[in-house]
Amino acid sequence: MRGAIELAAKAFAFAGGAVLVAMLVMSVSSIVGRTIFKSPVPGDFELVQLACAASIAAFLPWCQLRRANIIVDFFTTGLPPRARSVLDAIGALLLAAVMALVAWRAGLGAEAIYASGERAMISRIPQWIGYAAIVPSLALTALVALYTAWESFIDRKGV
Amino acid sequence: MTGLALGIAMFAGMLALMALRVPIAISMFIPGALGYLSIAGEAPFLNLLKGIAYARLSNYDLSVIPLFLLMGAFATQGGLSRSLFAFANALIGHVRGGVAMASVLACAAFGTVCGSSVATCATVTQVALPEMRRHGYSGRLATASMAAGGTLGILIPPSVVLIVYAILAEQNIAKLFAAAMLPGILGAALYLGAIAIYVRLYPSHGPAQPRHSAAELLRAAKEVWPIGAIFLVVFGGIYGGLFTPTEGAAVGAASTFLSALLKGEMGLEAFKRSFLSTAETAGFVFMIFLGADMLNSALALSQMPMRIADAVGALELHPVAVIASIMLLYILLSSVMDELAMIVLTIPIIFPLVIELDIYGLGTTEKSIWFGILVLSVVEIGLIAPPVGLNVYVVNSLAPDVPMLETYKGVAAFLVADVVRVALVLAFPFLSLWLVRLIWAAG
Repeated sequence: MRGAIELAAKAFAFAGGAVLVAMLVMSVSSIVGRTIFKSPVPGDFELVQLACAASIAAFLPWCQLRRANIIVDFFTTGLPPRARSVLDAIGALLLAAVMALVAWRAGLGAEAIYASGERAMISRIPQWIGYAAIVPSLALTALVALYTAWESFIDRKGV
Repeated sequence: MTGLALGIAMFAGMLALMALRVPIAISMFIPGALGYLSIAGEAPFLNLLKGIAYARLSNYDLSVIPLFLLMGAFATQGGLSRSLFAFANALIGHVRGGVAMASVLACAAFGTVCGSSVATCATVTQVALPEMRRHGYSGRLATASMAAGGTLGILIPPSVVLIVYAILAEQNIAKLFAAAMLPGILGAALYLGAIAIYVRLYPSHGPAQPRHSAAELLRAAKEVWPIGAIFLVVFGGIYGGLFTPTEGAAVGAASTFLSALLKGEMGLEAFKRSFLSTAETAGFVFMIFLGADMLNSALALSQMPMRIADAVGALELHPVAVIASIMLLYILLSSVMDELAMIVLTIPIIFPLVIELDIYGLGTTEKSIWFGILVLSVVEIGLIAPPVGLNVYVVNSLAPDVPMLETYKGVAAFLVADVVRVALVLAFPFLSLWLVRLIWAAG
């Protein structure tokens, strides 16, 4: 179980990293293009927006698996470890619920924009692609959060 | 329920959830969602949710964050801190307290490629702390220098906190970076002064060392020039209007990667770790944004921020007194909660209030920039001030033999330096605005 979840979260994180590198290369070549050859990559800002959205969303499952979503532990340091684990499990469940809700709505948002046929101003990339690109990441984050909730509940420590 | 009462209820709910260890992002999201539902109803709420994630994710300015994080991760994994420390140590390591000063300088220099305080603190500590201990420095001075020095990572641009502020306050990131420059250098200089005074009072804590030879200094200098070059290209390009901060961050990340690769320090493992650490930080920063966006949409509907601004305006306090009270509030808040979350949460409420104030007759843009630098300063204090100084925890995990109380005792000297710096930035806006005026008046 742990293995499969970790593999999926890592795969998403590296995929996000690859998109980030692509965006980096695109940005640098756009700078070179417009300063030397006076021809930037057309719609470079829109490409950055799209790539940035896809890559950060893909980072979210790994972030949750590492329990990097910040909590305040100032008020609960006095509690017994078991009580803290149960609270952490509840926190992760709430996170799972929120991410599931957001994933579901973003999916419907993608559908609505697909139907409207909206496109980006310069690059002419269909807008629904951005919406659709983040949905699997959001859904996987919900799944990972369910898993971390279970891990906290049975008191097994994370990565 | 009136809007104001609902706003207060949302805040109370958020604080209760936070206290119960619910992730901060979710502690903001849930009360915000419930508040929005009860004010606007189900259909607008479900409609808002369709776009809330993508609208934030596709914010052009947000893309600066993962790129600067990646640049910092490459610098960290590529062992740049070692060369920086070696150079600073060859430069001033011989004077009394000099190795601690060299550590602070290394932090400041690392801060020019890294936008995170914790990362700066951790990576320089690993190199500098063993050196300080080896030269007979006390645990108190050594750990406190590292905890305080690490904060230069966010004080000196690039800075994740400053980018987050720029996004929330809708200000120009390049101008904020320029504004942070002088206060950042001032902060580093005051830290050196704090160390000098400290070792004058307690000479045994930081004994003097033999001087390094000119040849050693030259050899160390050869190792650090790429970092200086990267900094000049990235910020020269951004300030000079050659490229946007996002593009500057892309150039910076690419060149930091190349410099680490050429030094033979960027293997496949280091490369992978760079991405995973970027993923972690970028992930939680975005999650906090998502939670705050939900809460702020609801708060805007409840009109609570406007009511607060009106109420404060009706008090007719002196503007600088209002700002000083806000700073105090921030220091209190940051002692119990994460600094980034605090900014994301409070700026939408506090910023409109600050903009209404007449401070030294500054225009709106200049006021926003100056206030951003002040916010950055208090955040930085929160990272080392008790009871929960994040940097002190980081150093403590790397130097478990030094009790945390010892570190806090040493940190006191640096906190005095911080208070002096904040007072100067508060009293003299030109410290933050001079460089901005110089660059943008010419352009």
